Amino acid sequence: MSAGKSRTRLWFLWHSWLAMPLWAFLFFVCLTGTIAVVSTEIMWLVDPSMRASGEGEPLPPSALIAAAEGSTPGARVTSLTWGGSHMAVGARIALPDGTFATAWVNPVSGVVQGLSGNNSFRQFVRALHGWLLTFPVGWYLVTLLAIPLLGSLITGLVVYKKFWKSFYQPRIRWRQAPRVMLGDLHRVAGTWSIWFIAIMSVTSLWFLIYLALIHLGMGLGGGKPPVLVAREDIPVAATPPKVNPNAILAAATAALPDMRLRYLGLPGTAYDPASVIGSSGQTPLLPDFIRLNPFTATVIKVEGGLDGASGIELTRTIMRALHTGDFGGLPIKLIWFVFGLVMTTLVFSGMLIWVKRTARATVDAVRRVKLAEGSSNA
Amino acid sequence: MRKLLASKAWQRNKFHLSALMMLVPLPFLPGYFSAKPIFAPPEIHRAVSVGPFPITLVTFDQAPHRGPAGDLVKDYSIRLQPADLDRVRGVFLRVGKPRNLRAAGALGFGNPYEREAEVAMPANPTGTEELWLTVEDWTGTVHQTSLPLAEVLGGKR
Repeated sequence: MSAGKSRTRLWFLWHSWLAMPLWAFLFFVCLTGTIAVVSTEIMWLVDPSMRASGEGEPLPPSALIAAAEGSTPGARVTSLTWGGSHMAVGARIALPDGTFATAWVNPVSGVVQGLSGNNSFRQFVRALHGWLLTFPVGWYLVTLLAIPLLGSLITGLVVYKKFWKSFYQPRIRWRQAPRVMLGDLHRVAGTWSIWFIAIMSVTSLWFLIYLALIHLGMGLGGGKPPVLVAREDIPVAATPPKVNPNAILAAATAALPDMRLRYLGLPGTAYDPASVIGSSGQTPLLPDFIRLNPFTATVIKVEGGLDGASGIELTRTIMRALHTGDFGGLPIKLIWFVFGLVMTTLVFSGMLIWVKRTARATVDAVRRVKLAEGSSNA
Repeated sequence: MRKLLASKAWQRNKFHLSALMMLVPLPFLPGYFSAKPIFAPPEIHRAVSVGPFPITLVTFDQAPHRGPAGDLVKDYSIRLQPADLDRVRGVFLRVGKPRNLRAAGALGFGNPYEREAEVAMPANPTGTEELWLTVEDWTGTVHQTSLPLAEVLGGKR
């Protein structure tokens, strides 16, 4: 055997050993992550109260807030979230027992179509995927998978030298023996998801490093002082002044006219500004934040895009957006979902290949031992 | 021969052992879905009066933890009387007496019925620190009071 060939064998061994002992765990994390990408959409499919037709003139925020606050005694709306024309507006309500719930309000009729508690399916899948419901131990267990994942990608590319062929000549021999078919599937799926695996392993590695640094007392910092309403701008009154959400939204829309509206946050205290979040699409991956004085409905600050944010803050936003695929609406989410499925298949097919090969190798080994035993007995 | 079979089964199946990782979330499932967390640490409750406003201060009986910037912080929740919600325009918490209103400390935010404040903690407490509560009402009047930090610090003593 030539030196080059034996080196390839060594890389191949590395490739096999990196994922195999962990395959079931990695499979579980890939699968739950894939579901987490479309968890909101799954909730939308299951729960009719989250749906809206998208037809008709949408009501102003004040009407939606009044409807949501009328749904439960003592409820106070803290924010409204728009998920697209197919979705009801999610009004987050603070409840007297200190918890929060979401009221789903039809944007056209203003009817509260349903209430969901804080423990939604979406939160559950995220917690299961991200930290196995136990923080921070689970977070470390999951993010540590970034290392074998990155290793599998690199060793896979070294072993499968002509991987670029799979881009223009993808070949899966469906009719051949399962072992051949699985090998083809593994190589083609792996090649087509190189970019995706790279994104997932790098972002997961970031999540690992980020939390480890915090726990080591070496936080990366980068936090900006929050935007607050200046004390002299807060009116002095016997009763709190009424805040006009319609004027706030109008002022924000005037500041960034081509923005896709996502979020309207109402002040919880006198010092909190009102916030409007949207995507103007000027900088990919980065949303725009507009902070407003809630009493006068004037813009205090427009944040977002590349200006003004620290490197750490940008990294945090971009890493999260890239990991979750939540930065370009439904089309991007669906791409992330499909490649999440491909990656899950990759883990499973890798395991099957190993099992089939190991099974054969084991049978061979046992036969050899039997033969040896037989000959020694004779 | 039996030994050989056992070793064969082990050789074939040892790589599926990582499936056991899926058992990790199981003990946390009931806690996740119950309204009151099962594994939540015990809480410390303290009733304080800040001027005319009775307040219940609640925190976990746990040592301070590291915030995202690496600094030592502790979370407090501030419960006002429901009737006072629209009279109070801000509640601030600070270790040590605030020199002025601009440095009144961490502002309670979130659910108005149960505001949360993330308060910066001294790295080496001497045990004589005071936690200062500042409540400002909508007429601009400021009310202050303090209590020994040791009473609401939690964790090992």
